[in-house]
Parts: sequence; C-alpha cells; structure tokens
Amino acid sequence: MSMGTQSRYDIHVPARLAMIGLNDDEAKRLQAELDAIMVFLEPLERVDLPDVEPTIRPFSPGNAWREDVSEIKFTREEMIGNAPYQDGEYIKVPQVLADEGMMS
Amino acid sequence: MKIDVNALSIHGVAEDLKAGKYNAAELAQACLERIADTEPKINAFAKYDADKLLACAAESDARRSAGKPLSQYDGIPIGMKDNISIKGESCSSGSKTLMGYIPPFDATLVKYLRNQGFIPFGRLNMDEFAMGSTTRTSAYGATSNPWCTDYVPGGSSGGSAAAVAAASLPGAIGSDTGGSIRQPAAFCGVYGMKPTYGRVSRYGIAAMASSLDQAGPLTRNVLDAAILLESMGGSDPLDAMTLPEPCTGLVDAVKNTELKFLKGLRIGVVKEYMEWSELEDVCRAPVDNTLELLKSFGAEIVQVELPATLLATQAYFAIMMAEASTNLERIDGIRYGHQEPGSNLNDIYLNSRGQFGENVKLRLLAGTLITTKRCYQDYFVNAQKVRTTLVNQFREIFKNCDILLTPTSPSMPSRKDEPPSLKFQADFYGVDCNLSANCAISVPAEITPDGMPVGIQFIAAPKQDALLLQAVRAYELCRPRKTFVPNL
Repeated sequence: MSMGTQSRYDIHVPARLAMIGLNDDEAKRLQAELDAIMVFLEPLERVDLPDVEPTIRPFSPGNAWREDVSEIKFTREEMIGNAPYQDGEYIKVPQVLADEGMMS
Repeated sequence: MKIDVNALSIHGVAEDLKAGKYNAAELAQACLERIADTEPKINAFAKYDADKLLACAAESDARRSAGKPLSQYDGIPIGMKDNISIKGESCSSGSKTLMGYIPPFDATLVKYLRNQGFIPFGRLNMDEFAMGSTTRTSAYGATSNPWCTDYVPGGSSGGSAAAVAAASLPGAIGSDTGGSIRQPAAFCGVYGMKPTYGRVSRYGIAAMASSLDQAGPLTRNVLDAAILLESMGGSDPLDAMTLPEPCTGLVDAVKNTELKFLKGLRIGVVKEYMEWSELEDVCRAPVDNTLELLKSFGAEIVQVELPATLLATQAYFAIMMAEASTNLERIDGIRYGHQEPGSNLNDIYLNSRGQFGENVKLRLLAGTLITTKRCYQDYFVNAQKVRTTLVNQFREIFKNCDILLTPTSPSMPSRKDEPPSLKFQADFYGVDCNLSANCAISVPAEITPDGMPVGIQFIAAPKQDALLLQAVRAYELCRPRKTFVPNL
C-alpha cells in the first residue's frame, strides 16, 4: 500500500521491526502522526556537540553486586500462571519450526 | 462517628485512629461509600476490591487492639496506579494487552508501604502504559476531572489525582516519566511529587522509560507527601538505580518548618520558562503572585537561564520513545497478558501487539525507528547529548539557587470531547526534571474565576527532596487560599 511520497520514514519499517500489526486505515493515520513526530524531532539532527558525552542515565552508581546465591522466589505455577495458554508444566505456543516460510 | 471525607488527610487520619475516634474498618467503609458516590461521575478506578480492603482493615484493627500497630499509619488505604504490581491483583497499565495479568509479587514500594501498615488499594486509572496526559487512552475508559467532569483530569496518573481530589482516598501513588504525577495533580488541585530519580524503587512498576521513570505521592497537603515518600522510598537491591542513602527525615523536616524558612531562601526564576510563547496567562499568574508573596517573606528572587530547555522536549520524546519501545518488547501475548489468535507464532505476536492503542503504537513505532541505524546517531545520541547539557546547566543554576519556581502546565485542562492530538509541548515544564533527576512537586496555588484549580511547580536539585518539601511547607503557611475541594 502506498503511503504517499512525502513521508521520509515509512511506518511499515518500524512496524515490522517492532512486530506491531497495523491495518491499512491505521497505517495511514499513524503515518501522518509519525511524520509529525519526526518533524518535531528534526532540531535534534542539527545538534552539534562533538565534545559532549551522552547521558544514558541520570546517575552512575556503578555496578550493583549481590551475593551469587540461588533462591526460589517464585514457584513454577506462579511463573507460568499468567501465560494465556498452558499445558501442564509448560507454556503452550504454536509450532515454531515449520517446513517453510513461517518465521520470515 | 461520621467521618468527614472532605477533611481526609493522612496525618489527620493517623491522629484520629490513634485517638480511637474511629477504626480502620470504619475508615475503609467511609472511603468505599465515597467511592460508590463519586465513581459514576469520575471513573478514577480501573478496578477495586472492596472485600479485600475491608479484610485488610480488620487485620489492622486487630493489630491496633493488641497494641501492636505497624506504625501510626496502620490501616490507612492508599490508592495505587494500575501500573504498580500488587500481589494477586490485576495490573494492566490501562492496556488491553495486559488484561488478565496478575502479578505474583508486590512492587517494592507496595512492600515498603505495607511494612508501615498502609493498605495499598485499588487499580487507579491511567493513560495506557502511562503514555499520555489526559487519562483518556485507558482500556477502562476515560477519567473525568472532579472539578468539572467535562474536562480531563490530566495524565497519565489521572485516576490517582482524581481519586485524591474527590476525597475517595486520603492519598495515592502515581508514576512520573515526563510530568505524569505533577500535571494531573495541577489539573485536579492536589499535591503531586516526582521525587529525585532513584529515591523510590521502580521494581514492580511496569517500565515505560527506565532512565526517566519515578514513582511518587499524590496527596492533599505537603506533610502527607512527605509521609508517603518516606514510607515508600529507600534503597532496594532489586533496583540498581535506587539511591543508597536512607529516605528519612522528610516528615520531621516538614513538621519543623516555619515561615522564617523563607528568609534568605534563593528562588530561581528560569527566563526560558517564563518567556515561553505557549504559556497561558492563567497559568503564569499564580507563579508571579507566589514569587511576590515569597519575596515579601524574605525570599531572594534570582533570575536564571536554562537555554538547553528549548531542545529538552525533543530530547525527552526521543529518549522516552526509544526506551519505551525497548521495554514494551516484553509484551508478546505469550508469557502473560492478552493473546490474540494467529495461525503461527509471528501472527500471534503481530495480532497481540496490534492490540496496543494507537497512542501507544505511535510511540513504540517512533521509538523503534529512532533506534534504527538510520536514526540512532541523529536522534537518540544527540538527544542524550542535549540531556547532558541540560544536567550541566541545572548544576550551575543550583549553585546560586535553592529552589526553582515554575508553572506546572502551560495550559489548563482540555475538554474530554476534544479530538485527540499530539501535544508535545504540554510536557514542557515536566520533562526537564525527569531528564535531570531533579525532584519536583506541583502544588495547588489558586482557583480560576471558572472554578478550576491551577498548580505551580517547585523544583530542587537531585537529593534535595527535604529542602523541596520544606519550601512547599513554608509556602503552604502563607498561601492565601487554604483549601482546594471540588464541589463533586
């Protein structure tokens, strides 16, 4: 489906990477909004601060060490209890190793 | 005795419980009656479990009767935003994708509050995954502003702010990634504090943007904010970013603050904040009035500049969306939450994640785009450099100022039926404190001729939470208007 030629970034690229399903109407609406976001962010492209270190978190407390001991915080039932589909002790998912094409 | 819910405060209730004026069960009952009365009008709660509250209250009364209350606050219910894990209760962050998820553990802040006897209660409504400023994007429907139900309560912690404003509860907890506690607090006429980053553990709070997220209290006075923060804060081995210092002394600091605290207090006024073109007069006036008032009690007003703020909203959005898109990768419809059918695993992912609301989808898609090779340097890394510049400028400012005074929001709440639109600049006064780890609190200041409350924001440097609360207490002592109670 065409998104028009003006869009600098095609919304289907991040949609595929983020694995977020979009129907055609939604893609059209969100493309316009994504365009608006990226226009809003454009001044960041012109930031020229070669000597400034990026801040990835407000503090750098150093590494947080703790004793390397095993513990049981949750039972198996608690750990898988929230899975929508279960089979005994397992989380149930569809077949993932297919003959062809399934995990494109 | 009949409990006057409109006079509810955490410290007041604690005194009443101690004096035996009523017990925790009667308090719980009064709150439930108030909630039954107000919920049809404001929809502050996604869910709540009345029986559980009554059971917890009965346990509290038994402890108190035995002379063993966990603290003076034992038995006081505190509302919880729907993104904070309470063991055995649903926690869906206002999203269809997490419907059915029931955490098998308490968030650390819930555990700490329980240690003091507080009863964490209810699932307060919020914008889906805390992305938004209206509380209109929740899977549980929109929340209304208790001051005028045609208007939004702000967001994302709109349910928390509305519930406290409506006197449904003595206090509530919200989370703040770019103003999500402070802006709804301003819109609803309550106090809303974003503590210093790292003051409150994030463990058990659905992550949005990990380097920005911080939980905090929404209350009806500043002493209550100090009580909740002191109870819920502190270091936590399960959140490596928590500050090592104990979270103590806040309540005493507030209690001991007198008007003379203002004498010589250096209050900074940020040029870029006050001259910003989007700032409406109705939101600016309370700041000007407060500066005059505080000056008359001996505060020193200092003019300062913060040029980096002019790019900070862009930096915030880039960082927030990038971090959120990474954090929300975990929502897959397989391990927990809602699963949509699909013929294969790929389709299950696409269909299940397709259940995000459009507001969330947009931010996740933009965040994913920003972290691609094509955009990473220009947007994400440059945003982090702007963040560094902002942090450095704040550091310089706080060499000459103790506190900054700003508007909380540039504008008043919008109508609930207004078409949704991207309002990047609505967060202008909020995001800087998340980017820089500063602590900040929105305080109700005035009521407009239309009968809506307006909040102002006090800001202090990281780790200066006590100083911040003291400044607000001093303002509370001289503020012309004493009560902010909606006619609901």
